[in-house]
This record gives sequence, C-alpha cells and structure tokens, in this order.
Amino acid sequence: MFRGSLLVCTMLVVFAGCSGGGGVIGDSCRGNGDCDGTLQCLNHRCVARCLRAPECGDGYSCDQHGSCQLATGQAGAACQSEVDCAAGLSCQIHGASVDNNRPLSTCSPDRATGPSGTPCTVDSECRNGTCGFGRCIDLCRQTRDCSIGNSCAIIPSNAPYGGCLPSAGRVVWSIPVTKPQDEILLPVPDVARSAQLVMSVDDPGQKVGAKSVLSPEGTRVYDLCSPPSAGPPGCDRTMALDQYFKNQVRHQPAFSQSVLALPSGASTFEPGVYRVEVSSFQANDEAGSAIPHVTAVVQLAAGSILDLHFFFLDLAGHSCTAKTNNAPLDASTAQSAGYFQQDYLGELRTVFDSAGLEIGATSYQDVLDHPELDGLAVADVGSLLRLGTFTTGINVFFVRSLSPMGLQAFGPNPGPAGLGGTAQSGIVIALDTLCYRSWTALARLTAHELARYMGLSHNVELETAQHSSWRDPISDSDDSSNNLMFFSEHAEPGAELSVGTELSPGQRDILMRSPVLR
Amino acid sequence: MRLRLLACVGLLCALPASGSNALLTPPVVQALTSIDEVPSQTALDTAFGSQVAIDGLKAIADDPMVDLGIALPAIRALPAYCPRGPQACGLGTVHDKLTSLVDGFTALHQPQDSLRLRAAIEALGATRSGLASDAAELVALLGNESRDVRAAAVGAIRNICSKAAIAPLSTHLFTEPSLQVRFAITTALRDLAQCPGG
Repeated sequence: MFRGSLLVCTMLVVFAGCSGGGGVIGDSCRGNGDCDGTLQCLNHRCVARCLRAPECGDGYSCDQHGSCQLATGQAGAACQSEVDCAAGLSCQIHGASVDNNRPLSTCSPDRATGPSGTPCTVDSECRNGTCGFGRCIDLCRQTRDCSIGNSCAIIPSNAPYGGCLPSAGRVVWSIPVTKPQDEILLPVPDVARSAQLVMSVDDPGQKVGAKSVLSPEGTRVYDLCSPPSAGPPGCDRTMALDQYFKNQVRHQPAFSQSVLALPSGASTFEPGVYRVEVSSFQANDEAGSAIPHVTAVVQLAAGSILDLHFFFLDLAGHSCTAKTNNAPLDASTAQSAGYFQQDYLGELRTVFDSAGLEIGATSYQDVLDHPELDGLAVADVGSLLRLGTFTTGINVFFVRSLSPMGLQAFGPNPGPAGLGGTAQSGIVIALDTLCYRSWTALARLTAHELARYMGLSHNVELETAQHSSWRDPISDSDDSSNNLMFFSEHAEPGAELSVGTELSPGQRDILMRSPVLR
Repeated sequence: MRLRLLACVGLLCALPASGSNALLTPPVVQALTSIDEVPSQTALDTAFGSQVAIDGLKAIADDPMVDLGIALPAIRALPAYCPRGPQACGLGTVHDKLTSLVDGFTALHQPQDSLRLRAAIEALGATRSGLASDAAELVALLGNESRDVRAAAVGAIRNICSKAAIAPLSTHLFTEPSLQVRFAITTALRDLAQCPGG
C-alpha cells in the first residue's frame, strides 16, 4: 500500500510536475517532496533531476525517475557499472578473470590517472583501470550510467562488458605493433557501423597490409594470396586477383599505406574481436622488415552528412578555361561560380541524395606553393594527398592533369577516415577532363571516386567478361553500366559519355556506414 | 546471365564519335574510358577482339572525331605495344606513330589538340627509347606557349633518358617562366645525369 502510494507520487513528480513542497533550486530540503516537481532533493538541497549518473557526482547512480541514488558498493564489492561503487571507488576489471561470462570486476580505489574519455594506451593510465579504443572507459550497465553524449555499448573482450562510448561519430586509436609481421586484435562494439585499420610503414619502398583476417566467429574473411617465393602454392597475378575478389573483405597491401575496411559487402560485419595478421612486404611481396603502424577507426553510429574539402592547385592558364568562364578556377571563384556551385556541387548533391546522404559543409582552399604537384603523376599522388589535413569528410584535390594522360580521377579504395595528412587522405580530379566533359559529368566522376573512398568497389571490373567472379561483393548490385560504380563511362544515345548514378540498396548501405560521414 | 547482361548493356552503349573512322565497339569504348585505372594490354587485346589492338589504337589516335575521353587513353596505351627489351622501342611502328603524332598535333592549336599533343608526348617518353633525336624533338616543344605542354615535354625528356637533352634543358631552365616546369626541369636534370651514354 505504502509502496504503491510512493510509486504514484513519484510518477506524479516526474511526469505531472506535482507541486510537492515548491522548493526551488538551492532551497534546503529533507526529501524530494520538499522540492518543486521538476527537482529532486540531493544532499539537503533542491537540485535539477538527473538524466545521467555523472550529473549526480561521484558515487551516485541516476534512477529511471531522474533521482540520484547513493551507491553502496564498498571496496572489494562486485560491480558491473561505475555507478555501483561509492565515492572514491571505481568499478575495475581484474585482468582476464571471468565470472559468469562477465569480466570479474570489483569496486576499487580510484587511481590518480585519467578519467573516462581521457586518451590512453594502457589500462594503468586510467582512473578506473580500463583503457579501450584509445580512451579510458567507464563500465556501465545502461546508457544512464554514462555522461551525456555517451552510450553504454557492449565492449568485446575475452568476456564482454558494458562500457561508455561516444553516442555518435567515431573512435580512433593506435594499435601497437612490435614486429614486421604481427597479429593484432580489432575490437568492434555492438553499436559499431563499420571499422577500419589504416596500416602504414615509414619506408616508402615497402608495402604494408593485412595477411589474414578472422571474424569474431572464427571465419576467415580475408586471406592474402602468397607470392611464389613465400611458399607453395604461390600466386600469379590472376590467382591473386581471384583471391582478392573471393575474399569477403576486400583489401590489398600497398606501398606506404593501405586501408582495410569492414564491411566490404552488405552482410559481413559482426561485433566482436577480429584477429588481423598485419605485415610489411618487400616490393617483390616477400616479407618486409618495416614495422607497421596501425590506426583503428570505428564508426559508432550511422552518419548521413558528407563534408567535402576542395583544394585547388595552380590552375591558371589551363587549356580548358572556356569551362571556367575564361578565368582560373581557384578557391575564391569556386565558392561563387555557377558552374561549380550549381552544375558541379548540385549534381554531387543529387547523386548522394539518392543514396540518402547529404553533402554537408564545404571548404575551399588554394594550394599555390606546390608547383611540382600542379600536373601530377599517379606515382606522386601520395605527396599531394598528404596535404589533405581535414579529418572529417573527404579532401578533394583539383590538379591540372593526371599522368598517365587520360586518367580522369584517382583515389584510394577505400580511403582512410578520420586521418588527415596521410598518403591516402583524399581524391584527385584532373581538370583536363573539362576539355571534353561537362561540369555535370565531372561531378559524377567525382561521386564515383568519393564512393570508392567510402568503400564501394566497381560493380563490375574491366575484366569481368573473362573472370566472372571479378566484381563487387554486394549481392544486390547488378552489372548495369548506369551504376555509379561501373568501371567506365557510358553514354545514353545522343548524350555525352559519363558515369552512371544508380546505386543498389546494398551499395547505399555500405556508403551510409562509412566512417567519413558525420 | 550477368555476362549476357553486360554484353547487352555494351551493345546499347552509344558510340560517341559519329563520323569516326575508328572501329569503336562497346568493349573498346569501355576499356579505354576506364575511370580510375589504366587498361592493361591484356584487357585491350580482349576488348579489340578479332581486330589487332595496335591497329585499332592507331586508328583511334589518328581520328580527330573520336571523343577525347577515348582518344587520350588510346594514344597513351601505344607504348605498351613496343617490342620487349631495353630501349627496343626506339624503332618500329609504335615509335614512328608516336613521333608522327607529336609532329601532327604540334601544328594544331585548339585546346583539345593540346591534350592530344600532351598524350603523344607522354607516350613517346614512355617508350624510353634513349634516342637523342627523340629528345631533340621534345626539346623543341619547350617553346610551346602552354605550360602543360612544356611540363609534359620535360617529363618525357626525363623518361627518354638521353644525355643529349641535358645542355638544352639547362639553358631553358634560366628562361622558363613557370615554376611547375622549372621544378620538372630540375628533377629531369638530376635523373638525366644517371642515364647511360656520354
């Protein structure tokens, strides 16, 4: 009877704002009933009701009614969440010990180190002894236990546990590698939409990449075809490509830097711990000597906004200035010229709108102090893309020409998200194309390259006619030349050659998972 | 089924160069208009089918009616058909075709001709012929009014790898107005010093 009345009263306090005692913020009180219905009585003062436990201070939880509740867990008491432990204590995991499929964790004295969210590399750097995804993580049972802007996610480990992670955006952290060939673990929380490993080596003469990837279920989702000298059976070019297209996860080691993105197809992504064998390679594909640097990027929630950052090399005096109103294309003109804002950006918006994505912020800047990159050989693309310093969205560089001549655009597939200043931080568009294509066609070309950066493969390859398996890993994409990801231009009767614009639901899904989105 | 669909789509692909003398089948158009990759020799041979690929590429290179998006990769693909062996591309039909293309396009002055010229220049450089005559032909282009043509010429001279180009390049460096071209000359001079010959 009494409990029932209390519940009714509490419900009224929360949802109807019953008058209670009418105390305002700061008034003294002995219970919630002394305060205005929108407030609670905490430490004998009327204060705002809580949404999250950290608003209550150390040693409290926030209940479903918005009232702060004093935690009772003393040192040594078992806990699952930071809010279980009294002030001065934090819920800490004890090594790899497991209790009832959960990590053994108890309330333990706070360490004099970083609070939740502080960058870290080892557990000892965190107040609560838990470092994950490059940041100190508070243990949690539900999102209410975490501070605003964070959600309680299931963190995979030998025994999964609840941890507070940002509710949106992505987490980026370094994974230490100590030898040229090493196995690393990539934890993917349940809330993740996608994950990337960006692997690089300091020696530009060596390649770097993954040799194998095991999914959390133990399925080999990627395997690198070994070169002939690395042991039987060896791989020629065709076998290597067969293997590349057979893998559920598309990846190829590359000079200086490569990116492994999960998922490549529509249905190969699961939370848990991925085991990835990373390696450096000599130019002949034998084992390398360089120690890879590995950065992990996990997209925590769906994004839908793609920011674009345009960079303009010195394009003055280009042969195709008729398409730029006989004036040089640069950062200033691009921001106001109709051909750029309406014809080019407008078409880009149309293409991505059909994929459920929005072109968000755009920025414009000139790159006039690198004349050596104005006309760019593909072999030197890395030098240009390193100038792409933005870490959100995608950097887009306009150069005078690309060599070999005829190449209209170039970029990594996939590109690194969340990392600026790398040899793959952007895409390149050749202004030469405007000598024979419209701004609309150039926009579609750019969209194709952006989509590759975001993880889409060609729906069919040039050599698919000879090798039927050489195509994208997305089950619902067809072979249409109208597809945005068709390997070449095509033309409708009477129209100019151009890139298609269609995307299948599976292709759209991959785009929407991309960690370049916000 | 999918391959049949691909073939069907290919047949529907409109040929962009009406009036062209070159045989532009859909597979050829698709191979040459690959967006972000250079078609391999194998892919080109397959695309041309029963037609000899080198002959098809030459026909496209010669035809001013062909869409530039097709013509530029065709011109650029010619060196892939050089005879194998070090500096083996100094003689033969590919080399002769490329030098004649450079000559022919130099005399034309439309913006699109400038692109064709640059493709031919770059392709001639890719032959790595080592011939002083090729270097001399390219040095003559350092007086072209387009900095893109001059930059392409310097890049090709660097690839030709004839020490005969060192002196004229060094001289031109002092009068070249474009920073882009001057940078290319500096790089070329450094590399040319490593080339064989006196």
